[in-house]
Formats: sequence, structure tokens, C-alpha cells
Amino acid sequence: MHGIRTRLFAAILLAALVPAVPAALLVNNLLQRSRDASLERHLVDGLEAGMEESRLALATSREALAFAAAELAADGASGVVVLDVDGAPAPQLAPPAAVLDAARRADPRPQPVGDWLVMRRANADGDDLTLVQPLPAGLADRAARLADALATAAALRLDRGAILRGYVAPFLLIYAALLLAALGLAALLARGVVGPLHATARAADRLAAGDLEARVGADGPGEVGALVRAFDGMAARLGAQRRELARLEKLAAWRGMSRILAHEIKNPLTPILLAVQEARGSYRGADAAHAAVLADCETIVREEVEGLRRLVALFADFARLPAPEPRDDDLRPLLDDLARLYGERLLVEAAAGPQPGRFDAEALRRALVNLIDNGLGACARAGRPERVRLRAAHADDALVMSVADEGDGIPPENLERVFDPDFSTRGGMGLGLAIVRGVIEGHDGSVSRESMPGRGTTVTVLLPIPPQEAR
Amino acid sequence: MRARGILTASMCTLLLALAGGGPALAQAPRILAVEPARTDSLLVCRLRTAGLPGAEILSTLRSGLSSAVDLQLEVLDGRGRAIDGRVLRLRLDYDLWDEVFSLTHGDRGVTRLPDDAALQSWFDRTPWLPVAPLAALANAGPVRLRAALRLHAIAPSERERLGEVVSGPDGQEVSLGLGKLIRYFYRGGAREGGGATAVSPPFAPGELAHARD
Repeated sequence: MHGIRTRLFAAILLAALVPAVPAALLVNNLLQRSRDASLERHLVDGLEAGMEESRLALATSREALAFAAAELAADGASGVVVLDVDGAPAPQLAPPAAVLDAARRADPRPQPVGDWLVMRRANADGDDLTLVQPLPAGLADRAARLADALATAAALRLDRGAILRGYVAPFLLIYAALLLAALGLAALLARGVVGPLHATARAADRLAAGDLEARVGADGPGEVGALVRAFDGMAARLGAQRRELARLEKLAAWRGMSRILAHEIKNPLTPILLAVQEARGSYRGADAAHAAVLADCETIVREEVEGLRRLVALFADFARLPAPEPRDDDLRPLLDDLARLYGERLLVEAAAGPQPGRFDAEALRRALVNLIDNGLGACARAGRPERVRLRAAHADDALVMSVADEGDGIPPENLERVFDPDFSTRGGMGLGLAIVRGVIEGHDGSVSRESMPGRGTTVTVLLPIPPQEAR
Repeated sequence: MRARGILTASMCTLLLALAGGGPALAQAPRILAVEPARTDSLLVCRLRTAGLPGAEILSTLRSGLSSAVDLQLEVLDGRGRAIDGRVLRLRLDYDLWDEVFSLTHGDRGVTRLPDDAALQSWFDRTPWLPVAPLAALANAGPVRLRAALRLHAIAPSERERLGEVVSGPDGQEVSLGLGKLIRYFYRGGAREGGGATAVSPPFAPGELAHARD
């Protein structure tokens, strides 16, 4: 079973990993190509050209400022002199303080500070001459933007490894997280598949060891669920068949034994009774006490012989129990007959008029009598009035009869066995209900019972009424 | 014969590797000396170095990117424990327009350096760098000064800026997370330009000579 789980896991892992490897290689290759594309070189060339132009413009401005500075120095100018773009003094211009500060620390080579060009040199008298001149509009800004773009392009070239890592590592991280999630899902799926298979294997082992109650119990969708349901169904059928087989075997054994007992006991009963009667009749003496003993003996033997005859009749009934021959009939005469037979002890509840059904009246009578007798006996054991209720009704193409008493009831642990031929809690042979079951099952019917100890028992008999065309 | 051929080839390979590694070793940044001195209130030091800023950093600078040098200056007591110190970050730039180097040092502002030689000269013999207040070392006894430098071919601040470029603008919530991830891993892959460490001989802070250029 571990093999299936491992294979499932491995299959999902492979399904997740196999496309990932070429995908990662492809991503890496595409990134490399995007870097290697000549487009980048063209862009950098363009930027370099732009920067060169800016440098030339700066150089021109520098030369102009240096020339103006030389003239002003020769004229003896000193202090801070602000020039306009054309090199003429422009005291109306107000450079920012930071520019002026940088200008005072500048050297003779003009240097750009923001949008200004500054320089400092000595005039003809050796005094400081500080010059500040605005650069052509936008020149410094364009140069700054070009420098920024060139630096970025350089980073893309020089820092390629780190940039690739910046792209590939998140991909791998996200992929690993997705892979972990997929594997977790795979583990859940594998458990969903393998779990019922494990349970089925265990149940099969128990079944093989003779535990007919072994069931998987778990249910689920799909093929595995179908397998589990099929197994449970098979186990249930196997158990039912095994129990039925055991019951039939026991029934056959009891019938065989009943036949032998009926024969072996019945035959000597009449000679025994006759012998005792002869012994009593042949006594001609005057001993009244002896005559009384003989009379008592005859009575006792006759009663016991009668008891044995009834038992033999029961055995004979059970042994000979003929297969019922159901036919279309009316239950009403049988109900009336039973009502007459039992008088007030039987309360018959049925709709007025004919009660059509399909049954063997003689066999059904035997079964109902046994049930009623059992019910009356239960009432007597419970110390209640002997009274049994017999209901008959039609339901779903079946004739349903129930015999209910308010007797001592049947303990739950015995409820399943009361129809077995060897089971009795009253010291009898337990054949009465076995005969009932034989009769009813001979009608393709069913018999069920409900009981509450101390409250009473209801036995329900269901005889099917097949459709007319099926008869 | 075949074994001899393999041996010869291996030796040649080794020699070539050593020959290739020679310049690299020569260019590795080194601190030749850590020279302590004092001002009225501060313990200062000057470093004599070699191999700085190095070809890689120069190349990076000339491409327009910023580099950085981290300097960790520590005062060690007699048992070698750091009792005071300071970390300085020097940012190096090259102005592609003006074609001059600049060295930004938090305390000293910006120093403009016109060419490679000026930049190298700055590192060969640095200015006096503040280390610790002398008052804090009054009872320290003999101490030593340890200087450690670490080069960042691309300055961390530059990498921050590039991280924004590489990860693209953050928009929706999903791309926000992805952008952060890209920046995180990009910054994590910083190119380092090596480092060096040196320790001065023991000295008594109170007996140091005044710093002079």
C-alpha cells in the first residue's frame, strides 16, 4: 500500500518538477537574451552621444567663463561677480547660497554646481575674483538624466548576476512554495486514496480470518469509494449467506432428529399405556390401597404419555413440515376460525369483509396458532391476563399480520435466536417458532419481531402478494 | 609518455593560474599602516593603504555607478576587546558630465578629485579620521587601533536605487510583494570588492602627538 502512496507522490512530484526544469532554463535563457540583445548597446551608444554633447556644451561654457574671467582679472575686478549666460555682468541675478558657498571654495577651473558654473582665481592685483555664471537652460538637468540612464545601463551590464538572482530567486521561492503546497495536496489526495484501500485490506484480512462482520465502513466518491462499497456489500452478502447456510444445516439436522425421535418415542407409547391399563384392570384383589396406587399409576402414565404424544406430534410436524402451497385465498375464514378457537383470549383486528391474499391456509393456520400460543404463554408468565391481539392488513402488495402480546417479552440478546429450533427459554424444545419461520419462508415471506422485556412482544408476518401476471 | 604529458599540462595550468592570480594579489586592497594621533579632544588616525580603490571600483565608477568603502575603526584594550570606535562610510562617485571623482564623507562633506591618481593618492594616505573622544580613553591604558575596510563595488545606496529600477514600479498588491522579493534578492546579491584589516602597535592615547598634515 505504501507503494501506491509512494508512486502517487512521486508521480505528482515528477509532474510538478519536470516542466519546472525546462521552464527555469527557459526563463534564464530569455533573461540572458534580453541582456545580450544589441538593443542595449544601441541605447548606451545613444546615451553616450548625448552625454558627449553635454560635455561639449559644458566645455564651451567653461571656456567662455574662463575667457571672461581672464578679462575681468586683467581689469582688476575682485570679489564675487555674477555673469549672465552671454558673459556680461548681471548683478540682478541671485545665485543660491550653496552655489555662492561652493564658488568661494572653487579653483580656477570652472566647475558646474547645479545650474551654475563657478570658478575662483586671482586678479591682476592678486586679489580673489569669484565668478558665477548660469549654465544654458536645462543643460545640467539633461546631463544629470543622461548620467543616471548611463549608470543604470552600466548596472544592468556590470551587475548582471545580482539582477538575474533578483529575478530567478523569487521565481524559485514562489515555485518552491507552490511545489510544497502541491505536495501537501498530493499527500492529502494520496491519503484519501490509500486510506480506504488500507481499510479494505484490513477488512479483507478479518473476513478471511472468519470475522463475517468485518466492514470497511468508510465511504467516498470515485472508484475507491465504489470499491469500498462493493467490498462491504460482498461481505454483507457473504455473512448473510453463511448465516443462512448454518441455519439450514441446523434445520436439516433438527428435522432428521425430530423424525427419529417421533418414530422411536411414538411407537412404545401405546404399549406402555395399554400395559399399565392391563395391570390395573387385571388386579382382582381386595386391597383398596393397592388398587388406588394402580389407579394413580395409570393416571400418571396416561398423562405423561399424552404429554409425550403431544411432543411427538410437534416433532412430527416439524420433521414432516410440508412445503406450503400458496394459492389465492381469503384470510377472513381463517381469522374467524381462530377467533372462535381462542374466544376472548384473541382480539382480531382486521377490516371487515374479505382479506384476499396468497397463502397455504393450513400451513398459515399452524404458524398463527404457534404465535398465538406463544403470546398467551408470555402473558401467563408475566402474570397478566392471557390476551393476544392479531392484526391483519394489506400494505404494498403484501398481506401483513402481527401477533402482539403484553407478556414478559424477549431479552434483546435472545431476539435473534428465538426462531432457531434449539432455542427456548421455557425449557421446551423451541420448535414452535422454528415451525413459524419455516412456514412463512415457504411463502417467500418474512417474519420479524420486536420486543421489550416486561412489556410484551410483537411478531410481524409479511406474506407477499405477487402481481396477477406473475402467479 | 602519456603520464608525463598530463603532468606537464597540469604544471602549465598551475603556472598560468598563478600568473593570472599574481596581478589579482597585487591589486588586493591592503592597509599598510594605521597611524594614530590626537587632536585636542579626539583620537584620530590616518591609514596608509595600497590597492585602493582598485581596478574594479574604478571601472564601476567610470560607468557612472557609485561605490562605497566602509571603514571600521576600533580602539582595542590590552586584551584585544573593542572599547570604543567608529564606523565611517565613504561614498565614491564619478561625474560622467564633469568627469571628476568625488568622495563623500559624512563629516567632511564632498571632496572633488580630478582623476584616478588623485583618488588613489587620497587612499594611499588618508586624511586624519576621527576615531573616539580622548576623554573616554583617559583610563584605558595602552591601547591599539584596529582598522577594517570593506569595499562595495556598487554602493548600498546605489543598489537601493537600482533595486527600484530592477523590480519595477509597485502597483497592485501582488506585484507589490513580487517587487519586494526582487529587491530583497537583488540587494542580497551585492558584489563585494574585498576588504582588509590592520592593527596599530600599542600606544597610550594621552601620549600621542598632535595630528599634522
